[in-house]
Amino acid sequence: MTTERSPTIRLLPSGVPGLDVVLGGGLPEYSFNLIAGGPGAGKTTLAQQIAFSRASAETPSLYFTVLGEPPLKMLRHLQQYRFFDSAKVGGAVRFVNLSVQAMDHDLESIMRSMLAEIEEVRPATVVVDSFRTVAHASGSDTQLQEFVQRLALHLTGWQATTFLVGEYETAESHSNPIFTIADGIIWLAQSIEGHASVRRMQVSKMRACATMPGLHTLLISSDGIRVFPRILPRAAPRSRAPAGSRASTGIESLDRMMEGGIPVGETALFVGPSGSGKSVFTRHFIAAGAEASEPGLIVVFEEHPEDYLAKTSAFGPKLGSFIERGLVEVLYLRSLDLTVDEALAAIRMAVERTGAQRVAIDSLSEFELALVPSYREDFRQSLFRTISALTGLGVTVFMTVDIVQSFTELGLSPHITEFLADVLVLQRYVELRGKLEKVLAVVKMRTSRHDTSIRHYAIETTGVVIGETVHNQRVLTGVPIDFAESGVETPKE
Amino acid sequence: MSEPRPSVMQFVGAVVRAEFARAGDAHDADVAQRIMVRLHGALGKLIGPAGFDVLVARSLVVARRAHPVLVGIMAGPGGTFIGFDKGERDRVALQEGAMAIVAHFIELLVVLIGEDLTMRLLRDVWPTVEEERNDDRA
Repeated sequence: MTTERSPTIRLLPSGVPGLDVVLGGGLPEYSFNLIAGGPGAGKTTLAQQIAFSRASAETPSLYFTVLGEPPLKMLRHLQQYRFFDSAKVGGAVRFVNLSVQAMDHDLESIMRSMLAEIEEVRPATVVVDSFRTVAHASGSDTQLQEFVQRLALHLTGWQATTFLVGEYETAESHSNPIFTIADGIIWLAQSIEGHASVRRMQVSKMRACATMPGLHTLLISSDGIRVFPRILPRAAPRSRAPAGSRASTGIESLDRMMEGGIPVGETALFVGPSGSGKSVFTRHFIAAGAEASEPGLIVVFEEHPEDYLAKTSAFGPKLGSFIERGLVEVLYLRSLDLTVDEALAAIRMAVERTGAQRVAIDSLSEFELALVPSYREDFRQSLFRTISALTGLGVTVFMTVDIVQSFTELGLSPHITEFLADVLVLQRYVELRGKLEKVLAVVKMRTSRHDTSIRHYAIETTGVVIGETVHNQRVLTGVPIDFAESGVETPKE
Repeated sequence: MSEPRPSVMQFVGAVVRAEFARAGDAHDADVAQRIMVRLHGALGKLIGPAGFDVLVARSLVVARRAHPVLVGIMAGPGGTFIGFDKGERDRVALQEGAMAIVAHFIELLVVLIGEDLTMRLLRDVWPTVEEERNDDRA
């Protein structure tokens, strides 16, 4: 039962982007935590980033190095990260090496040294890296349990938030006493998936915190660690467009088919085979927004932005002047090890940075190819999260997807992604009178009436030109029938 | 290992002057030893006693190449040296050799952890030396 006299557990900012979201708000003050995982997973980097971020003259960090990476090398490597601050070393961040005591296998001596330093420095944050080597100094599990228990007690008494760093396997969590005593356990892992390397984090325990369950991708760069929470908190929507507002597609006749355009804040999916002009439709949509001073973002995966623009510039609106004016940005997300979480975070950051009201993902097919193999399995789920995050901001989303055209079935998209879209436009090649022509149809609009006719269209230098309705033809079946000539009864309107 | 860079030599010169001022009429070799002991006090916890001893041993080996007078001198624990007071040695050569050990030690630190961090750590030991260096530059 909580009363007014119940202690409030402050949640401290970790200084690691994304981690506080996973932790349910931050690091619980005075908690005793274990950062566990295999080699190369990022344990030391995480501990160092927290230690430097939390450290100030009033709240110093004390970093015990034991056996493992030689301290000189650690200092050398540590300086490659932007969170490193040489002004803090020796003051706000104190490093103390305990290798001699560890080599003597003397737990009592290790404890004495730690306590002496803690008493002198009065740290707010303490790291022991690697605690595994301290544990090796113990003769038995009982000794180790007693040592950990005493250490936890002392550090709580000194009001320190503590991180023990160690190479542990998940199987040990059932038998190793550290896992019982620790308030929080942060697992880090690195795995090879296909040819890609992926790091993930799981907070399997954090007393007094509503943590976000599951595995979260993390990235290590010169900025340090960045965590990509699986589920992002819903962002506060921008000022909503009036109900019924439409985002013009930039093609007047298509807007008419949609009774004004794509409903603002909804998602449109343009499905068509290769060469059917999907990127031209994309540029019409983005250019129409820019002309109305609505910032737009095009997300591409395979081609470099310059190549993408050059390749598509022969047809349709030119985006150069909009890009120069900052109204349009092309975001390039091609990476060998791209995870959905990274892509989502990059898109979301770009939307926030540019204030984009229109986002075009061109194309989902390339997005899928750019992903780490294991993420492809969850592509629909990941895509749903991406779209939800964007539309939650009030952004109108325009997506394209390649489809292999079949004349025996009416496939609307690969992986059944069409259910994610509020508006679905199907593009097809059809053979008519010895010519290959393009047709399109607005297949669905969830919140609006729309024209259901199948229309001819062509890609001209000016862009998409939509033509007449296809009359008297059954063009989508693969067996075109001219009702006028065949004698087959024309279906009733 | 290359020769200590000018900024390191300048720093060592300033430290030696500061230590002479503290020690009165001590010999260079004594001052060098005192510098190393102070360095051990400042860096021993950070890089570990074993790490410190390794750097001292390496510095002694490198300094010995240009200063044969150091042959027979051994690195002891905690930044101390054994053998400075043994045998007949040329005093001037010994002074230069002792300073070379300090200079190589600091150069090695600079190479491994960078000049910024090295000077940041050394400033804690000799807080006024940096000001003196800046005055020299001016």
